[in-house]
Amino acid sequence: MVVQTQSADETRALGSALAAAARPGDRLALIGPLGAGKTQLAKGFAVGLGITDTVNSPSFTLMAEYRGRLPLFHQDLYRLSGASEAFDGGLLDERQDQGVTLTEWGDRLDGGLGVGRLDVRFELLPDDARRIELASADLDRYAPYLEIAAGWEARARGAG
Amino acid sequence: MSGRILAVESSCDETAVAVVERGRRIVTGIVASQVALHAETGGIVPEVAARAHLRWMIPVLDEACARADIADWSDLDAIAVTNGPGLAGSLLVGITMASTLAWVHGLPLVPVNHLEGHIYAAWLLDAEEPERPAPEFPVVALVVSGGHTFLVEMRDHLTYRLLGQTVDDAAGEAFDKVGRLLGLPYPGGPSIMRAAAGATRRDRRFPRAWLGDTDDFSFSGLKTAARRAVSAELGGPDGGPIEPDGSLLPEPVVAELAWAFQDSVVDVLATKTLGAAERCDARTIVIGGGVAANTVLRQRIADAAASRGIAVAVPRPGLCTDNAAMIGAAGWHRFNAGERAGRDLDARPSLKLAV
Repeated sequence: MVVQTQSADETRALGSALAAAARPGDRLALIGPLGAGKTQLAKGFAVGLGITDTVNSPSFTLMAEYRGRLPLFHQDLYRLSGASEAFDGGLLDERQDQGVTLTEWGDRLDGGLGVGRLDVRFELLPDDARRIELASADLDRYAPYLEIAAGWEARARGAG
Repeated sequence: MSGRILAVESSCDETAVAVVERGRRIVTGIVASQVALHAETGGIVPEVAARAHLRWMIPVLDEACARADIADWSDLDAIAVTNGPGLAGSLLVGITMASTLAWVHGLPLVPVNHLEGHIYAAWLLDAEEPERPAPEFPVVALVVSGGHTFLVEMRDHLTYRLLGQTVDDAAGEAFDKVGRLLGLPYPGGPSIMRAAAGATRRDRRFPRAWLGDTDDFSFSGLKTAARRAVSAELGGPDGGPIEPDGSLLPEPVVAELAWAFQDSVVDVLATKTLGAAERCDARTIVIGGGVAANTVLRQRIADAAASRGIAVAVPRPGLCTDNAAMIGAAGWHRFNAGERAGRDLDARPSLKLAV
């Protein structure tokens, strides 16, 4: 499923919409270059979960935790080079089964997240536009996200 | 009662132990800098950091004890330790050692927030440094590092009111990421400062995110502006690559872009800090955190504050980055306020300073 957003505001709105599908144990890998909108999508997702705290980039702090409709674990592997570092650093723990985990630079986990995840891939387009692709090998769990994205894209095209 | 506190810090990438007297005078401060280790990997690698904490903690403690001439532990009033925020695994190395020392030697254990440590670094005096007055309240403190960017008001010791914070990237993170975009070596802060100092063209203007008249900060748009500028410089008539490689740029252009980026960050940090200080009737502006080592930022705030009759307290660069002396300084005030932790003291990765 491919979605396009035209601005950071729209990327946040998409994140907020996707949060409606969130269930305990969900893991989203946010993948894409610097400034592609990974943190913006996470910020919107947090709003969608009813989180009122300011969500900012955990690039240096590596993981931040928030309380909302579900606990949100917001991770950033920008400074990591492989899965073993994330495991040894304690970035994956059993509490995440009770909440939703968003992992920026999630591709650096290699197979560490397992196939039970939703990949959200960001590509830079000219100006502020972004191409955002959602894909998962576990459709039983993640189909609701794809449906929300499809509806969102249809509305965006209709409006455009 | 010697007024001496032994302090331990291991929240992120530095393993550090210090002995501080009455919250101000550094008797000794040892930091096992892991920067060299990280430079090889292009960033701070937490797994490497956690292992390095384990490897360094005891040697750093031994060195601090030898230099402070601690033969009799009853000369100490307490043990202070950072209990958050930070990585749980890293924090636990320091907490475990500090609580063990406190238990074995029958000393009080005092937990300290890493972020208040960065503020209290401004109270510190080096071993041979002449006395100078402590910062006077009310204080407006700007903490700027790789992981944090915020402004707080302090009307007295240990009381913090959050004025504003970054809504996306921390300032130090922006330095690091734009440094990478420009093809400059890690860490980005000193690299950009050095490159900018050599800029001959100083008229390019990157955007500033003022966020209305709030005390909040935003640096992610600046990251995008920097990427576009690099792309435009590389691109011909058909436009540059969407994901440009700044290491292909000629040195004068890198210097020009580094200058423009730093100018924008410093402008926003200084303007907002001065505005908050005036509004709070602050007598002192305190700056802390790794980005406070940036000489352009220090000078800009010092000049602007001087013209308004506000004092500025900034630690020397070595005390802006993570260290244990700052934990000893803040720990002294927490100790005097009667704060004690039990042996069950746990790491609090998301510990907040103020709301």
